[in-house]
Amino acid sequence: MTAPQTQFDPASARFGASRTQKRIEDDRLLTGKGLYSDDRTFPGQAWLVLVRSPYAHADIASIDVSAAREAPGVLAAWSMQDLRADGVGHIPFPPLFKQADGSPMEAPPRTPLAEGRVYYVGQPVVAIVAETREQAQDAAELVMVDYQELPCVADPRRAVQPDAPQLWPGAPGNVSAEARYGDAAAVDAALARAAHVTELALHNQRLIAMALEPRCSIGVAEGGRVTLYTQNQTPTGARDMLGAAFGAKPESFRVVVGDIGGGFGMKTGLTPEDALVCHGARKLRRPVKWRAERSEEFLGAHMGRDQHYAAKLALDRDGRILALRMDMLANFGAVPVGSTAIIPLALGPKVQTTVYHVPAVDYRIRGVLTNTMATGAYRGAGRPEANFLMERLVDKAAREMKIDPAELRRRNFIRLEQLPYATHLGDWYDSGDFGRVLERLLAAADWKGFAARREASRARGRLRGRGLSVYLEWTGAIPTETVDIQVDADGTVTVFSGTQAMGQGLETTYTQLVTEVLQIPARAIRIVQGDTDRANGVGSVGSRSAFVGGSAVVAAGHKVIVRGRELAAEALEAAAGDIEYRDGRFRIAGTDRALELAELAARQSERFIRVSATETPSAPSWPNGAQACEVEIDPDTGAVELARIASVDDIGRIINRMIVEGQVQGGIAQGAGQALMEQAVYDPESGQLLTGSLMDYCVPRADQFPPMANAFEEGIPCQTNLLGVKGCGELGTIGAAPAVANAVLDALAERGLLHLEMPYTPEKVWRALRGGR
Amino acid sequence: MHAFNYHRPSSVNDAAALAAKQAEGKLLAGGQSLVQAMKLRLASPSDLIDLGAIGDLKGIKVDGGSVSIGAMTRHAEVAGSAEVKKAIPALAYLASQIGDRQVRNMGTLGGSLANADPAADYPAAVLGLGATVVTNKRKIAADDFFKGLYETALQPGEIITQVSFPAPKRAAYVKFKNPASRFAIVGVFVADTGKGVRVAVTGAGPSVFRVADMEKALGAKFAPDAVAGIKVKADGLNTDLHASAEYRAHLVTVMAKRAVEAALK
Ligand SMILES: Cc1cc2nc3c(=O)[nH]c(=O)nc-3n(C[C@H](O)[C@H](O)[C@H](O)COP(=O)(O)OP(=O)(O)OC[C@H]3O[C@@H](n4cnc5c(N)ncnc54)[C@H](O)[C@@H]3O)c2cc1C
Repeated sequence: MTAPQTQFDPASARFGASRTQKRIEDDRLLTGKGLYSDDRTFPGQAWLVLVRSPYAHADIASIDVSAAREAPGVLAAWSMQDLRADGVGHIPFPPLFKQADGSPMEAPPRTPLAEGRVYYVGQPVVAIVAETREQAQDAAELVMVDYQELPCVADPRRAVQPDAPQLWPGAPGNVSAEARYGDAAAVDAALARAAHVTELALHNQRLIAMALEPRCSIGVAEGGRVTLYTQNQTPTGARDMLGAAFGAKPESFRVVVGDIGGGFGMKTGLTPEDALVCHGARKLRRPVKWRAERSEEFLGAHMGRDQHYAAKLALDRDGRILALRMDMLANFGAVPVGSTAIIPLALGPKVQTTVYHVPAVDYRIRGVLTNTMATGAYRGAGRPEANFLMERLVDKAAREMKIDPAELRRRNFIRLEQLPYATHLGDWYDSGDFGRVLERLLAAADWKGFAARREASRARGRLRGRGLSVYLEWTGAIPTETVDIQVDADGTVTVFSGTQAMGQGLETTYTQLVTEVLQIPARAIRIVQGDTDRANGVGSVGSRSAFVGGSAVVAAGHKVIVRGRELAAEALEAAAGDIEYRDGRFRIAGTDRALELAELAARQSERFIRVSATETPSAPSWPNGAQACEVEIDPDTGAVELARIASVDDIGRIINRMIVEGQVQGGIAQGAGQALMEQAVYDPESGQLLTGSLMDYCVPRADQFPPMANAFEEGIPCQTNLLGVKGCGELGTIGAAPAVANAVLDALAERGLLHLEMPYTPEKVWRALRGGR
Repeated sequence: MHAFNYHRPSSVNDAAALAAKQAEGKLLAGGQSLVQAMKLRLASPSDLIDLGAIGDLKGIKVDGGSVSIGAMTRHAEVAGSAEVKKAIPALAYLASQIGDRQVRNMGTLGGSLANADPAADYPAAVLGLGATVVTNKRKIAADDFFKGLYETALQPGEIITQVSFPAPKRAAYVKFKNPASRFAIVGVFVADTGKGVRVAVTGAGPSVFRVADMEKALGAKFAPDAVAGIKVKADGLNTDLHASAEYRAHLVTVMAKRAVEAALK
């Protein structure tokens, strides 16, 4: 449970002294004082509403918006043809990947509105702008689209069959991109000599991000440019893509982000809705606002996961891993977003061998087009899927070989003396003590006491199972951030960062770092994010904010001192080398002649001191951990209850314990959600989304979780960044799905079951208990 | 949501008159089903006749052997009522299991019954206890009230005013919740009325139904094992993403057994 909290005391807030500090932003966020994009209203604002495709695959024979244009209050009704006439193009995906024959990745382009054909249910087809939202909705009902339905395919396993409906001529067989890693011959040889081969086919099912705050975007023409007010984890990226979509300079756009009610990777890049409100602002010279209904968010926002694996793990007689072969079909959806391809093709493979020494690997990964919403970044992004596969393989191997699952893991850990450890993909693990983390976890989870708890459960008619997971994450995507710090004459110290808070407490974390470096009270510090006129960077994705952004904050803080020392030397007519800095003051050593930061700023002609620091950690970081879960199953109904959850995570140095505990606990809830209840399901025949509301898409709730025991291994700081932090935003999710899955399967093992696909819904478990009937 | 006219009558008669005049109008109770359908544009009534200002439709009265609850009484009031807890604890418990706090603070007994959602909880109590649904026009026995999927014996414009629940000797409700919506996948209300046993099942079929075999077995012996071997047929039961008809049929037996256990506690 959460460690006891100390009240935030700005005056004494120091890194180290403030590790359970309450979050500065919570007063605002919890009392309705936040500023989310839907809180913004502009004078003269018009509303945009979308007509979305009811079909998964269809040619658009014609679109008739004439009646809609005539409807009360309507200012505009556009199809893609209209947008083309105004020079609007598509939102590009990064050209990082190739097809098997070496030609570039191909897929239908992401035009803001469908062009000629629709590829998935929910694809925007027509945009209506009207004085009010209701008028726009009414007009949307008058739009006539003549669709000629085409055969569709929703499952990538079906999509790669020769007779499957084809989505895109440039992607024959529906394979949009393909990646291969490793050494097939070495794996063949290992499989041939292996004492045991564990085989596993599994589906890491599709999930919906389900941020509490539905998306909302407003385009406003201001000062010769268009400002997009939105929620976005990557504001700079969104601005640059606006430039690309409109064939204009990125600087002709500004992106402004306020508070964000959860992102989880879904609020990255640029969306068609963003582009459309910006087009509205340009064309109509009025602010144009769009807000998703919850049901629209189900259809209109990219989803996560959806990967089908066939894998083989070769082991020797003692259970030592010899090789891993993995063949994966990643469901790209139809119209890829910026993060669609990189997740299965690059990020997952980076950590596929996780914390184990696997001498040989052979991966084949195909990104497959289907008539579904695109998949993209979602908490963990590739790493949960890779770790899930490994932890299921290892657990299944342990059961098949009758080796204790903890022991099999121990035998295969990368050992301390192997660090730094070169991976098959050319990365280096800098630090980690996987054995120590596991032993700490086993103690914290009272692994040995399980038998007694199982007996107690049995006495109450319940089946009990326990599961382990050990896991590894990679953080530090695009490892550079620039941070500016400005010291004003009134003593305000403002930090400008292109990373972006979306609920994870960056304001507090960064403030703590600045109080530490500059030795000043927190109340003097302001954190500015979310405005491309004030700060730019990669943004907050892949648990990189503290790792890269935090490092840049500290680097900028140091620069303030260096620059301040020069300026103080001038002002005090001393040598810079004689100036010492402490507690916000520059002083000539050994004298009482000193200047406060604020005084020094006041003496400058601009009346401020501003520095900029760009920080690039030398290499990515590899947070890792272990989780244990116990479940109870009601054999009469198949319902699974989470009984115990414990975790030990090595996230390097901890800046704020309460925040990282919150990150881990929320992450565990999301991972357990995947294991037990969440699944986005498309009808295989019609391509309709069957889980299109919270009536059918099941999200975990607080009352389903036991108290969690979350501990941290703090003795192994990261070697590659200034802070020694490793990143913690995704670790909980990565570890929880396999820990819960392994626990459920442990409970079912006495019925001879070795694998079952997530989510472990009551009926599925009930059927498994009846031997699959 | 489409535009509509809003009315707030202060008597049942006025409400009935408005309802008679507005063929495309709808009565509004807690709005927890109707307003959602309107937001999704699945329902577009020309007029909303809000029953919220009609005092006669509110409140709980315990009178001899029966509990009368006004149609506009919120789920939370029933769940929290000391009188209901005393007279028919199973009914108060059932109300406490509906939806979430917000829904219970708004949703009403009358709205739930008129809506007749196949997965709603109240229908199980109404049928299980053999309650009487009172309208502005007549009294309808529970056995005659529920007609099918979202279908009741109510005529257009007919207003439920209250429901009268006879207090049983013992009763219990057990619900297996849909993990996403927390409506009933299967809910079973078992009541030993003194004059016989009634077993009502919600969630499993298109409409709430009784299980005669279970009632007979429990009438002979009111014990969990009396129903443990009785299975309902899966034919005609609901199948969706969360539960097949076969699984629902199985759950009816499990929940019935548990309801009997709970009633005996
Ligand atoms: C998130 C959520 C979860 C829910 N979970 C559950 C659950 O677990 N179990 C459950 O049983 N229900 C659940 N519900 C439904 C809830 O109980 C509703 O309150 C109920 O279905 C409708 O009642 P209402 O008062 O809101 O009626 P309204 O939505 O106002 O009306 C529903 C219908 O009844 C008609 N009507 C209303 N009052 C009368 C009357 N006196 N006479 C005649 N017709 C009338 C209306 O015209 C309308 O057609 C849930 C709802 C939500 C939103």
